[in-house]
Amino acid sequence: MPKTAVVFSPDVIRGNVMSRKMQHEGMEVLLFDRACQAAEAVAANRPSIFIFDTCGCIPEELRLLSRFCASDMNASTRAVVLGEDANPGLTWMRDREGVTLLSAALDPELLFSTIQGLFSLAPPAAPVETDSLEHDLKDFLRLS
Amino acid sequence: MAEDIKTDLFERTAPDDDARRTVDEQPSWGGNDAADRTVDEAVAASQKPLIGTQIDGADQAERPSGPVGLDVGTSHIVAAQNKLNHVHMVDQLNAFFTIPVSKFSRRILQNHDIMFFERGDLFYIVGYSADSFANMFNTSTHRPIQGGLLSPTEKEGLTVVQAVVNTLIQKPRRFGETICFGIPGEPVDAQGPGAVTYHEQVLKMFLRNMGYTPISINEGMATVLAELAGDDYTGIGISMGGGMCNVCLSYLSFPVITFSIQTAGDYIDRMAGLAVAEPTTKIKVIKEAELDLTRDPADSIHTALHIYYDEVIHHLLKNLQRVLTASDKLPKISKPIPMVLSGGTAMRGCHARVAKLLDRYRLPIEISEVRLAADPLYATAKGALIMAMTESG
Repeated sequence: MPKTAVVFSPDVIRGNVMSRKMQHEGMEVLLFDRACQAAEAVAANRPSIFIFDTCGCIPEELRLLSRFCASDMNASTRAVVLGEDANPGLTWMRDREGVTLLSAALDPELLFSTIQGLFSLAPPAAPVETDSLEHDLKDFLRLS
Repeated sequence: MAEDIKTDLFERTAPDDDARRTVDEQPSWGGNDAADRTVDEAVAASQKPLIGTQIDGADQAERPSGPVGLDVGTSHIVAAQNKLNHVHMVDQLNAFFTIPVSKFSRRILQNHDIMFFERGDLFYIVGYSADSFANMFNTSTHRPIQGGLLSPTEKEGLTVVQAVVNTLIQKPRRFGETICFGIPGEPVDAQGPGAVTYHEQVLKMFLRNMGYTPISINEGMATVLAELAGDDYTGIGISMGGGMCNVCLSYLSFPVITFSIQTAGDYIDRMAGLAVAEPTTKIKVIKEAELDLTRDPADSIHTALHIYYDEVIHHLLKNLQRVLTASDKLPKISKPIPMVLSGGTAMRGCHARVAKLLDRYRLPIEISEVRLAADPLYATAKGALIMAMTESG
């Protein structure tokens, strides 16, 4: 599970609702209503998730997001963009690795399950388990 | 700029202001021990039993040694403090009665330990004492707050509120102690935004002058904090008082949608009185002593009360539907959420009536149940205290 998230939303109520959900699920969240500060925080903190809400965004903010995802975003950070596919400002996103587009509707539960899904794609490293009792027994019987 | 899971567990006042606060702080990940402690103490206080006292004489007010919750309602003002084993509530009638100044009257008022102050050529008798005087003269008291807000027609309204608050609490023992007071949401039928601003700011000025650090909380949100801990503070809190019904939809303790309507208990009393040609004071006494909305009305007064209660509930639910369906901020919530009612008007079977009439309204979110607050008269003050405890430290 991701541990940290940076949330950007120009709408402070939407931003707070999303942040509350992430926090409720045990994540640590930084919330911003200014895109440049959010981008700086992502670059500086390398969070697991960068949530970018395009609802109410101005074109400059969409351009900043595009530039940031293309060059400055760390490879370990995944971006979830809330917006509509038809938005011309988001066409660059198609086929962009590490960026997921989600409907702009305020659905914090869907947002969280999407994030969970993104992280479940990466198979967890299998823990190395040694059954010491079995090992000792095999040693004792000289079977190993 | 950062949001801290512990220090910002509970939100206050208008969502925009609070949301702004959460994004304008310095970034920092995670919580801290002091903040965790204050939240834990606030949550623990919310589980304590409430013990209430009516103040009936002068000079009984305490000097609080911790955070205070204050409910400045149209008919009563309630102060809440966290004690070792309980939450202590003191309440006072938010009303006044005037008599002409004379040496003789002054001596009588002083000898009988009656709370009053002098302005011009009048003595202003405040609190429950005002009610006694009004009854003696066979007339009604005046109210400094009307429709949930400071009355523009009562010149000494703020002074009366100050006098009433002074009968409940004195200056704090520690300068700058946190006090959280309830404020109404913007009325849906107001001409424009800002109807609550004057009310909120003058109360803040007064409390700051008393030595407190004042913060405000929406009354509906205070109801959520007091009653919905078991639901992760997600649900609809409605405070139904004398002058207003205040509504707040909270999502994980964040007030997403708040509004108010300016029809509530006083409207029911006045209209029922007009309908059956009886004085409002008589209707109020009958309502408080006899009315049970879960039973068929017994006479014409009860019938009138049923009719106007239904009108207020329909008005409330219609506006709830209107506001929720029009809002683009409403989060999708898969589970049905509870609705909790508080305040004097929510009593007498009102919550059962709300539950019944709710079936006629299609809301964009499902309601799991409609319930009455454990202590309807104290829920707002309790929620304000929880907020004050969370913010202090």
